[in-house]
Amino acid sequence: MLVLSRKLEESVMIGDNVEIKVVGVHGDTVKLGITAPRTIPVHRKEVYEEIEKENILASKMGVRIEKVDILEHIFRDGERAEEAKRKAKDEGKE
Amino acid sequence: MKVVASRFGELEVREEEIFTAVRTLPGFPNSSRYFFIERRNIAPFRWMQSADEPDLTFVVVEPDKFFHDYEPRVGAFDLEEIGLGRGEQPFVLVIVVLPEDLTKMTANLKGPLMFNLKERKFKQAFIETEKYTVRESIIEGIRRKEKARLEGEEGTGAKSTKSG
Repeated sequence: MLVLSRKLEESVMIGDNVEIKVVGVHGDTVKLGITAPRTIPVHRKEVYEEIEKENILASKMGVRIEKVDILEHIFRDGERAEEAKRKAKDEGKE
Repeated sequence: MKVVASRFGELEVREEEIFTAVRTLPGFPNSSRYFFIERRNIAPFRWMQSADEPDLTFVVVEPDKFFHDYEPRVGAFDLEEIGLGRGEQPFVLVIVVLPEDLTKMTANLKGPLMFNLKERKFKQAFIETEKYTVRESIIEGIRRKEKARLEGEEGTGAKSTKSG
């Protein structure tokens, strides 16, 4: 890994059209300004990793076909319970 | 074309039913072709099956079925990659996680799938905001949606306040 030291307002060029500039340093946080063509996606690494992890989880979470049938009931029951709770609360107020 | 899907067996899928990921989904570099399997008994959910990996099946849903105020900001870059111009709206689906306890179902609102239906292209976008997480409770979403609907019906005359 190439390691470079940069001061505030100094930058690093990657290729001809990607610039990464240090725009702020506060405690242990470094704020970076990134200028790149729109065709280059820029993301915080943890966002990518988080989504990757969730995708893998989603793919493993057995899509239990027979269970999916009951989703409808769960929603209906959930809504009904919520409705009942709300009504009880409203009546309590009056 | 014939596609083998572990969950569904051998399926006949027409070329025009296939959606191509312009960038593969994080975690699944070997699948770029997907198609949908819709069944009335699982609506509004649908399966998104990889045509490249028989074992790979996601459950997806249109987010507005459960999240009434979900408005991911789509970058010009994302639109461009799937072949849409500025101002054109992608068709959005989110991936659902179905745990053993189905009341704990969640949807990934941070990584929505953005589709260009016409060209049958899509990608998973990353929404760089703290507002949405990869694990939003669907039941909570339904409650909030229902609450908003009831508030709307009550017509208190008050201007709708911004819901977070």
